[in-house]
Amino acid sequence: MKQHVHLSEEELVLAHYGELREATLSEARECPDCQKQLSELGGFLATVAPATAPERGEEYGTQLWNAIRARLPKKEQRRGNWFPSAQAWAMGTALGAVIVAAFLLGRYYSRQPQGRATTAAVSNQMPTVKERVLLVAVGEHLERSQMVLLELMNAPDEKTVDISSEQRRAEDLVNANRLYRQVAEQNGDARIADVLDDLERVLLEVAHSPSEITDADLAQLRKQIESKGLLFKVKVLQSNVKHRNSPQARRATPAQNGAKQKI
Amino acid sequence: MDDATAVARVRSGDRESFRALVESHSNHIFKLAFRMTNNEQDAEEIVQETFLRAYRRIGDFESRSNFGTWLHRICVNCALDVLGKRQRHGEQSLTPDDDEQEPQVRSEAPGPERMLLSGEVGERIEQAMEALSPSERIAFVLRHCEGQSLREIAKALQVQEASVKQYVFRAVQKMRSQLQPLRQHS
Repeated sequence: MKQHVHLSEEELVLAHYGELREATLSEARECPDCQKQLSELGGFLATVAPATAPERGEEYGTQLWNAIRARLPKKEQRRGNWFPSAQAWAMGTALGAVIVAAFLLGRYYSRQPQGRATTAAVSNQMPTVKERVLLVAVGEHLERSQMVLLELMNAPDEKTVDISSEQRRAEDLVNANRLYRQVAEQNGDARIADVLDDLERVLLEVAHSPSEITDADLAQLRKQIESKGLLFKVKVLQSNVKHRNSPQARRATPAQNGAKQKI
Repeated sequence: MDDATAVARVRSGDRESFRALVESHSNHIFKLAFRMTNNEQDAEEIVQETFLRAYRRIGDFESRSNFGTWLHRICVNCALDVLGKRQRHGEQSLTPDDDEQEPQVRSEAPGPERMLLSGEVGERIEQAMEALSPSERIAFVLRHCEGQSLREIAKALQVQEASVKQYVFRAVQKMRSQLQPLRQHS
């Protein structure tokens, strides 16, 4: 006769929410101990009711529309702008610098698959000294992110893994990443925004995990990184930025030597 | 104007048609955002960001899908961002009128003693919720309060279903351990 194994704590939670396999559940129904545990859990969870949202009137939709209408990006302005707006420059802060870097990066990255550009267009894309400094910053951000991902992928397979170091670095990287992503979105650079969105999700996941995680949690994180091909995408993006800022790329500037540049 | 028509018009460049989508979905999105954060200000921020993000990404929306479901997923991700930001900044995010907004404790007979205890329990439940990670909190609210399946939550959070199981389990475990003394006391 098969011996009954009591439901684990995790299975009890799944059973409460009707997410446990029927075979396991029907076995548990026959077991007084499991029933008791389930009933206790149900009693506890019944005390947690959803927060009641304050009522919003019928005009809420109109009020919301009025609040966001001016902030909706204008499509015709999103396309074809090679340089940031005057307002962005006027910010004159580190934030502004980050935004410009993201903007330039986005324009560059989104142009990758389009093949050869005209001399004039390439000339417009060549970074100035200031922009080069900013591209370095973006490149470093991507490199640091890549290191965090690599360390997680190569962490030892033990029962519990200390990821406190990766966690601290992920916390630092999340904010900058969010800025890059938001600006890429605003400028219609969907490709770069998608990569940064995926990266942000993983960074947030790492930042919010406990400092010591189980091998199962680590496997989940790795799966998340692998399923989106994130490491590869970040690597490609970083390599593009690095290349754009390399002395060779700058030497090949058409404005300097009149040659066409492949981007 | 139905959602499909409004979406098609927005995609073809008619910005004003987005108004119909905002008006028909704003109340639902606000309620969802509030349940996930239990904070009016955060909920308002999430609602605005949800619609702005939806507008920017409307080109990615697949016409055969349900616009409300798509918007719901965006809202969940915006909430994840806001809760993450709140946690990193160590904010408690309690507004002056939070007493009226805490999760309510179900009560069969609301006598004075019971109400006092309910108030205390409600406060402790919110404290326990604050101790959850953003992913745990959102997964728990979507499963426990919104009645969504683990699969739906996994799609919204763009993670594996096994991760959602872990989030919900950890959330329940943490809340039970935090609320144990109160349960023994009561």
